[in-house]
Amino acid sequence: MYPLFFFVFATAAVGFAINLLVQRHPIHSALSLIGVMASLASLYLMLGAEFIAAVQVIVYAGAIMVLFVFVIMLLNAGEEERTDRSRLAKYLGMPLFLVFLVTLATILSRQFSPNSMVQFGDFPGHTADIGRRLFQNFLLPFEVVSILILIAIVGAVVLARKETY
Amino acid sequence: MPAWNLTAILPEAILTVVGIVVMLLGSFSSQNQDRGCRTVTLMGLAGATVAVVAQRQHQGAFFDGMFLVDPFGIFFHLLFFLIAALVVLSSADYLQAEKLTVGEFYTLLLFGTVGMGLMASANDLILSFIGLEISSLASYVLVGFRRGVASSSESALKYFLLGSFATAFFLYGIALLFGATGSTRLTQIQEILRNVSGRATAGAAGTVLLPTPSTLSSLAQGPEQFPTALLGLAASLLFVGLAFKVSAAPFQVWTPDVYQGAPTPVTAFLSTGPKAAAFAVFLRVFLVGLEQTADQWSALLWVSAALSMFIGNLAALWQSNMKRLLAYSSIAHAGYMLVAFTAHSVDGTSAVLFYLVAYAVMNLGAFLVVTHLGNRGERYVEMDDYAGLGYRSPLLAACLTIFLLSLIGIPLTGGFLGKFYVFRSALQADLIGLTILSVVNSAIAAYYYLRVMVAMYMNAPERPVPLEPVSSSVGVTLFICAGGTLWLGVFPQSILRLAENAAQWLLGAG
Repeated sequence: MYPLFFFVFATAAVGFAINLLVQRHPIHSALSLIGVMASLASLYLMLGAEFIAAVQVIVYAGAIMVLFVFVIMLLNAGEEERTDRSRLAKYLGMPLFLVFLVTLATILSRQFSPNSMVQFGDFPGHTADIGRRLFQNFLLPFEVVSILILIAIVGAVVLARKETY
Repeated sequence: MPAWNLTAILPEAILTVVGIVVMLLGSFSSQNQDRGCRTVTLMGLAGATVAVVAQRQHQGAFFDGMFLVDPFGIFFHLLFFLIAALVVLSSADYLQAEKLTVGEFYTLLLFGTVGMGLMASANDLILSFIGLEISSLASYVLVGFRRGVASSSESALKYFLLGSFATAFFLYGIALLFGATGSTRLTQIQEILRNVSGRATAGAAGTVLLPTPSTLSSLAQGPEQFPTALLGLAASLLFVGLAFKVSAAPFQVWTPDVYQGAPTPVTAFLSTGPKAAAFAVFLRVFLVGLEQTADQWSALLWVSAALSMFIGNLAALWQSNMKRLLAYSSIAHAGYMLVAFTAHSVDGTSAVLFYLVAYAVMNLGAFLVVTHLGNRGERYVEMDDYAGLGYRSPLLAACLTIFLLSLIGIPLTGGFLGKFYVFRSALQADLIGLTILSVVNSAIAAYYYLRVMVAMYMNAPERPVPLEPVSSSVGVTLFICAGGTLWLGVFPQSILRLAENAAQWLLGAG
């Protein structure tokens, strides 16, 4: 049962991701992205990482996607125009990307033998553990992220404010 | 949280608070309060420097071993604060001429410095990553600071998109490294890999691979056999992310466009500060965490160093725009530093550190002259605009000459000794081919730097280029940069001793 579910959601994630790139209309791409997020959330849940799965749905599929869609609609973005893509990207980019993907897949599949596949509940880490780690071992990175967010806010204001003079 | 933990991050805390104060000051005050913002910023940097100097008495690992206060981190902190102070001091006139908001500029600069400081001291890849993101995000905004100018926005967008892509590689590398070793703590990774290779050489031949779910519960013990392929993959992904940030080939494509479009003081900052911070992470990750796999990644560094030098120097030959020329030269200089990095020795590491200091003062100085001559709207940044500068403003031309001579590597300048230490460490590590390539490159580089000097002293100006008088703050900064360049070239001992101390600590710590 477990492998079946895995393949269903994994295929869905990859399929939605490809669809995201192929679609020409930004809204269609955004909707595909929701599909990717939801499939990933299911995969996380199957690994037993319920907190990350919930965050994935609430933050990514929920909040961030709403913003995406909001911006797309606000800008009334139409179908994208395909410019003449560079030859280099066309003839070198795709093959190199495939080489990269194949290398990645071979190395990973060689390192992890098929019978060592993780099952539901293999990971002891639950929400309480994540909280404890976050606020004890990883306290400094957690606090420092607030500077990152502050920079993002200042940056948005700086770049988007109306000229005052 | 015990109080002593706070002393470890005191410099960062001071800069963060000062950054917020400057931000508020900038929003409450009227336009001509720029001077106040600048004073507060400089005082904050001075306070942070005092805190770092005081930290020398309180070295050790803090926050669960995540944050290290060690000679290596202290060296980089002092370098970052020097760079930030010089940029703040010299950019006031530019900001006024371009009618840019001062408060946010200094705030972003300070926050960027905080991120760089975290990168230099982080012993955990998660913290390195967040520091890298902080400094990158601040850089993206600073690059696009001239909103009215299309090229500035264009380069900000380019930098942002490519930079996020590179960060994704870095993050993937962290994930795979965690998968291979079960830790993100660099010293812990080093220990795990050491134990593994120790067991391997002891003849304990096993076929057990990676942390399978059963071994995942005992993370600290690590894998029983060297997961060579996975480690190589992780190392190369980390390399992609970091090579992008130091603008080493083949991930240098963004550099000329971004450096050209960014406001010139920001370009000066980018080419020295974040680059040095990325080198700090580079050195920590590869010389501490991945020390045991050196034979794998040294080939990678070799190729990248050679490519960076050739691409940077050969492309710079054709440039007529000064900012673009210095951008390509920046790629080449990253290549020289990678040469010393490839040596993988205490001498090599201290050569990188010394080179970073020398490069910071000479490059900041060179960009400062470019900023000043560029005038309002950066209109005069072509090489032809420098024609006859030697007669119109002998002092400015003399300063630029010192910086360019140092960039070439002429004796009595910091650049010469920097190159000398790089070549020496490379020779000691038997990297004869790479040393020959870098010497050849130094010769190629002399051509385009000399072209600027020829224009300054031998050509007659083709079009009238207005020349504003040098203000006192710019004059002081120029004096510091020129003096620093010569001082490093004549009395390198004090900085070199600091660099050697830091390098010894980094390589001998584990």
